Amino acid sequence: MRSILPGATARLARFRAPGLFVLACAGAIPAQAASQKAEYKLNARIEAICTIGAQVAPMTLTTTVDKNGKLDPTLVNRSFVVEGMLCSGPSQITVSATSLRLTLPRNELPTGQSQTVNFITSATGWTSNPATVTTRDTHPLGSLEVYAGVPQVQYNAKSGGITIHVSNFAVVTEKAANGRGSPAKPVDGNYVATITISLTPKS
Amino acid sequence: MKKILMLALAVSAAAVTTAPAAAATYNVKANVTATCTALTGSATDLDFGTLTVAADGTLTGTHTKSSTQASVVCNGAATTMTVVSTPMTNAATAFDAGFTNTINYTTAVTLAGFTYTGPSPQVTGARSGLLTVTASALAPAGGLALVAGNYAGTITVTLAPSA
Repeated sequence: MRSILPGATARLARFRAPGLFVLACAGAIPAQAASQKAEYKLNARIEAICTIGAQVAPMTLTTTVDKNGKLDPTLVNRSFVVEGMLCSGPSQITVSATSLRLTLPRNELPTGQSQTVNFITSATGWTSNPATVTTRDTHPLGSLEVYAGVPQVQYNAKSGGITIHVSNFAVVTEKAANGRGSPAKPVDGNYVATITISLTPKS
Repeated sequence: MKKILMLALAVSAAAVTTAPAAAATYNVKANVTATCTALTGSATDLDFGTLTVAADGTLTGTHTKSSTQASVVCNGAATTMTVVSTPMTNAATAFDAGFTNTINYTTAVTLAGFTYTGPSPQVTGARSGLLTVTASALAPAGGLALVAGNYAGTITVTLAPSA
């Protein structure tokens, strides 16, 4: 029978030789198995913490009282910076404070005098809205009550300083039954207040 | 007639005694496949647990975790080992410049006396014995404070058998 493609057999013959050669080489190459792979997973956890770099020294305010018993207006908007604060995760800042009170408070005061000054503290630089607190003593003798402000939240890890502002100093006046009272003059002497900045991790 | 027959026998006998000894050579061949024992990886993660940090947010203490696999055999003289490590990272992305979400570490892999020094594939030779994978010297990237949260990374060990 005559091939309908007379050159096909010849071309096939030409390609057989290289084909056999390849097979022969394959037999000479040492066989090797597939690679072996293993994955080792590593895990760790960092707890959220808040730290303060160094304890802040007391801020001392010195002021005078004029003959009308008004506080020196330079007390307004005094500020200081607490450096080295760090929270490794979301955090909550709360400012609390006691009223500014005579360092050695008296048990009795003459009418028209006071040993207590309310004021506002605000902390800025940590949260978008400042954390604030207002002391709210109502009697000229004052108290040791610690007033806490509304917490503010920082949702990211953060480090840096916090600026503390004090303002709106107001001598506590004894109120009459109708809620009014004449302005009282502060007793002379040294006054002290405690401001506490609390940073806590927030989950 | 009798003479002719005897001559023929004599010629035949001479032919038997002078034939060469028969010999044959048989080539024996075999091909042993280069192979390596299947690596199992670690049954449990290399879990460093909760890491403690200093006041500045950097890691404190030393940390080392290992995983071993006994009786790992690679019979190929040109077998290579490749080790790829990814740092442990945390998904958090929003934080101050003073923080990092990456923990670097040092990986050490040994196989029956061979120590991988990387980074490219290295020839181990034929080996049989213990495979040990160790992660140690954890350190925050850039020496920065670490963001709180969970961290994860991987070490991938590949043995490529080759004769």
